[in-house]
Amino acid sequence: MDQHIYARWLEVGTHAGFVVLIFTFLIYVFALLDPLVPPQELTRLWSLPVDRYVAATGAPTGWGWLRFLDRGDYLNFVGITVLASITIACYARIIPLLPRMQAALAALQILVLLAAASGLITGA
Amino acid sequence: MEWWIWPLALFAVTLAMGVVAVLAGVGGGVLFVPLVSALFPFHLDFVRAAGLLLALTGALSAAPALLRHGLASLRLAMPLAVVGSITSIVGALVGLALPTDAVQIALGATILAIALIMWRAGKSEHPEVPRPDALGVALGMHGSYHDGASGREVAWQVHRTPAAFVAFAGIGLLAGMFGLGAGWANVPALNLLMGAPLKLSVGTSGFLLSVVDTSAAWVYLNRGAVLPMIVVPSIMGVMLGAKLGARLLRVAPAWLVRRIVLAVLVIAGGRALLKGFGI
Repeated sequence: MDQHIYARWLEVGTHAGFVVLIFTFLIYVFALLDPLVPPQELTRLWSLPVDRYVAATGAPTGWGWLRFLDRGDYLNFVGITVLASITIACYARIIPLLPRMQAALAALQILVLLAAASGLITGA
Repeated sequence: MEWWIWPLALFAVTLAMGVVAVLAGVGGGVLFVPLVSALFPFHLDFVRAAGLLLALTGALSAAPALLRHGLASLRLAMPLAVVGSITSIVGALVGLALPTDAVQIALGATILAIALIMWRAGKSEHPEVPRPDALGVALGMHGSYHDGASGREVAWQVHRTPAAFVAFAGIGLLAGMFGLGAGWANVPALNLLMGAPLKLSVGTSGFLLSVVDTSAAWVYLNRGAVLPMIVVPSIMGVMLGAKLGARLLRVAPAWLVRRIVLAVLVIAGGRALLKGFGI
């Protein structure tokens, strides 16, 4: 039962993430919204380590991309974030259905994922 | 060179990669990082981030069907996923902190080790688990699934759970550090070490990837290492390639493709090593 519910949530979330990702990428490559880093400039800078790339472009770190949703490149982060967040939602959904030991493990897993997502332990 | 040539080239390469990965029975993630870092001018930081997201999306797509048919087990995966995801975060942080040359050398050595594991590792359809260990029992790591091929219900239990925790800690570390999907290590650890049936091991490995890679992906995302111009064409290429590969599976000589993949991994691993040594 818990596996089926997890599977259903995962399927819906993954489809939603893909649709958003493809839609926003088309907006990006067809330049319907100006990007923060123009593609021609990107090709000069993507050989740099990430820290130097961020310094050179002023690209956002952590959740800073939310301030650039009007930019074609960072609009893609909506779909990417959906895909990276689905697991948290799926675990949260099945906690009430799990036996105590598994529920505790699921809660611990959510904490780990939230800590990673928050940027608190990742230095962002 | 015009900028749009790069995403198109990346799409073409990852499409081929997706076909080959399915035919060879490996995850696209393990091919992506060594090949793309060798063929394209992207810094390894961006390639590793894309590799993780690639492995993640592949796992997310496959996991619902695997869970629904009982070929992936939440009970088996959950304790291992917690350990793997914690160490994958550590791996990602270490990978981003180390000098690029050191990461290249470690990546090269890891790819060569993966090729060796893929070449040498055996598998067991239904390993014998005479007595489950106490930790596995306490964590509820047992169950059954319906095997469509034989038409019977297969009961399973596991042993050597403490050793498996150590193994999955290491696997998570490598997955986070190098952005590699970890199916190459998950399946032998579940099947040969813990004694889970092969089908369940393959399915649960896919589910584990969806959790472990998510944790490490957040680190790269938060550091600004995710470039949609690299990530999205790669995901689309590998996903489409995997669909084509699944169609070709019936007619292609899988053993030959697998040998070619092993050879490619050896070359790519050697290339990464040389690059790391500045040769």
